[in-house]
Amino acid sequence: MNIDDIIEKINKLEYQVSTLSECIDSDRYPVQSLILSMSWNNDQLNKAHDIFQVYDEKLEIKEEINWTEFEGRLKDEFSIGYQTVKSIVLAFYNNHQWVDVCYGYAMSFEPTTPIEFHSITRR
Amino acid sequence: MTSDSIITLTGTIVTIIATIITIYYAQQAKNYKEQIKLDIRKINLSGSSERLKRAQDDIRKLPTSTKNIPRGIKVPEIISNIKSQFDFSLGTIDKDGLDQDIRKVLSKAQKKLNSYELGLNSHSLNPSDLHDLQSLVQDAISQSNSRIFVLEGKA
Repeated sequence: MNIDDIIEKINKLEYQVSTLSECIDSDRYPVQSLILSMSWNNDQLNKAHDIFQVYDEKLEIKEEINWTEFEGRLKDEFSIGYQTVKSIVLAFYNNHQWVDVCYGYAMSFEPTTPIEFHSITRR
Repeated sequence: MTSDSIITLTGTIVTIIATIITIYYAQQAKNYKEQIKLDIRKINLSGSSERLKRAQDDIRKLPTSTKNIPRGIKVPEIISNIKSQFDFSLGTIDKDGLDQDIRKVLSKAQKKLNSYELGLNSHSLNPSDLHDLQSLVQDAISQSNSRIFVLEGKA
C-alpha cells in the first residue's frame, strides 16, 4: 500500500465517520455527538474536562469566578469561537457533567441569557 | 286550647325547626370537611408525583457501573437529590392513611436507593438495584396519578 492509497483510505474513513456522526441522536448522546462534531480525540476531550474541573473546584471553594476567562480558556485551547463554547457547555450539561460550571457560566449572561441556555438557567 | 298550650306548641315547633336547621348545617359542615380532606389528599398525591418525576430524571443520570463513571458527574450529589425528593414524597403521604400502598412502594424504592449507594461506595454495584429503583418509582408515579383520577371521579 503506497502513500496515496493510505490517504485515500483515510479520506474514505473520514467521510464515513462524518456520515455516522449525522446519525447520532445528540439529545441522547450529547458528548459523543460533540466529540464527533469537534473531531476530538481522547486527549482533547480530557483537556476540556480539565478546564471544567478547574472551575468546578473554584466553585466548590466558593472562589469568585471570571467567566470570561473560562470562555477564553476554551477558545484558546481549541481555537474555537463563542458559539462552539456554547455547544460544549450544552453538551456537558445535557450529559449531566459539570452541571454547576455550566450553570454558573450560563447564569453569567443574566439577564440577557442566550436562548440556548434557558434549559440550564431555568432548571 | 289555652294560651299556655299555644305557647308550648309554638315553642316546640320552633325547637323542631331549629333542630332541623342545625342538623342540616352540621351535615353541610361534614360534607365540607370531607371535601377538604379529599382536596388535601389530591394535593399531596400530586405534589408527591411531581417530586417523583424529578427523582426519576435524576435516577436516569446514575451510572450502572463504577468502572466508567464519566468525569464531572457527581453521583453522591445526584443520590442526595433523589433522597430529598423521596423524603418529601414520603412526608406528604400518611403512613396509616388511604394511600399507604403508594407509600410502601416508595419505601421499597428508598431501600433500593440505599442498596445502590452501598454498592457504589464498596465498588460492587448491583445493576438490578438501579433497574428496580426505576421501576418502583415509575409504579409510585403511576399509582399516584391513577389515585388522583379516582378521587376526581374520572376513573
